[in-house]
Amino acid sequence: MKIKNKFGFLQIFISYIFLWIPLIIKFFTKILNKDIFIICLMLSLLTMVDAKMKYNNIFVKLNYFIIFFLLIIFFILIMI
Amino acid sequence: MLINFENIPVYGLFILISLFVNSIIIFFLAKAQKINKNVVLCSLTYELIGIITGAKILNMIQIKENNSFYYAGFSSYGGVIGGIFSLVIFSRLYKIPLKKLLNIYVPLLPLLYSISKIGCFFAGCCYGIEYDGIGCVIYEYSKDAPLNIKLFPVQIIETIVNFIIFIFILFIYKKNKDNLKIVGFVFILCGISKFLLEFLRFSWNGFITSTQIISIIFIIIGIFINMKGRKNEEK
Repeated sequence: MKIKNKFGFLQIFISYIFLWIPLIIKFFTKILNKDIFIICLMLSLLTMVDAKMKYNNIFVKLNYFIIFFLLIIFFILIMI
Repeated sequence: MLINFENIPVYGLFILISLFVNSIIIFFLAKAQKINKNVVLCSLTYELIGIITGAKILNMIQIKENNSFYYAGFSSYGGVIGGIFSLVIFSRLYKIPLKKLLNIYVPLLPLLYSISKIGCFFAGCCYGIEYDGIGCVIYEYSKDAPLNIKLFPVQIIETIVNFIIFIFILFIYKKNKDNLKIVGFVFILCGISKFLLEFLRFSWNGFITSTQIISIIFIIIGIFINMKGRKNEEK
């Protein structure tokens, strides 16, 4: 089965998954390995960069900045 | 949950400032190289991730007690290697000429280094040898530096030297913005300064440190790039 990737939806979806993994782990286990957290954030950003380089439409641009914004909030929430 | 603003870590703050300043200036240099804004933003993200990853990994290798990526410090050469490696990957993935990318990112490395060294000075890491002369520093509280001992302010000297290198690079940038000579110059000058200043560091072991070995490699790469650039010019 081939998945058609229009407008970079696939990358945005994967990016959000990487972004939420640390919070989900923290929610269920109450412990968070900060190394895993940083690696997930980096992977999330790199996936978003891939979408931005390949598509760069308004939808991708919007999500790129949303991810940046969420990233900062998550960073503050988890690190404090 | 309270945020105590009195306890903001200065070391991390200065590293953030250096990355922020680096990001702003890169947009100006990219204009001179006529690179698309989107490419700059994406390559910048790659570079920042590369710098942080490389700096932390090399620090973990050099200081074996550091097992955590998060708690590891930053190694300057690790940052340079990581940053350049990430740019190589970026240029291969998206078919952007590496020469152009290197010409906007590498000239800023001395500036990045000089700002982050101020953070080292305040935190007390990368401290100098014992010295009882003008401008000596005494740390009354520090996690890394030996307390109540007069030390040579090597971090400040590194800041000044690298800032001078950055100014020099800016002066010759206009002439050489289309060839890789500028990259060679940065490698040679930063390599020499780092090699020599390592002797004034407390961590110098009396013979040769891993940082000095990397410095020599950087100087050789720099000379090789400059020689290749000259050969291309002659052709």
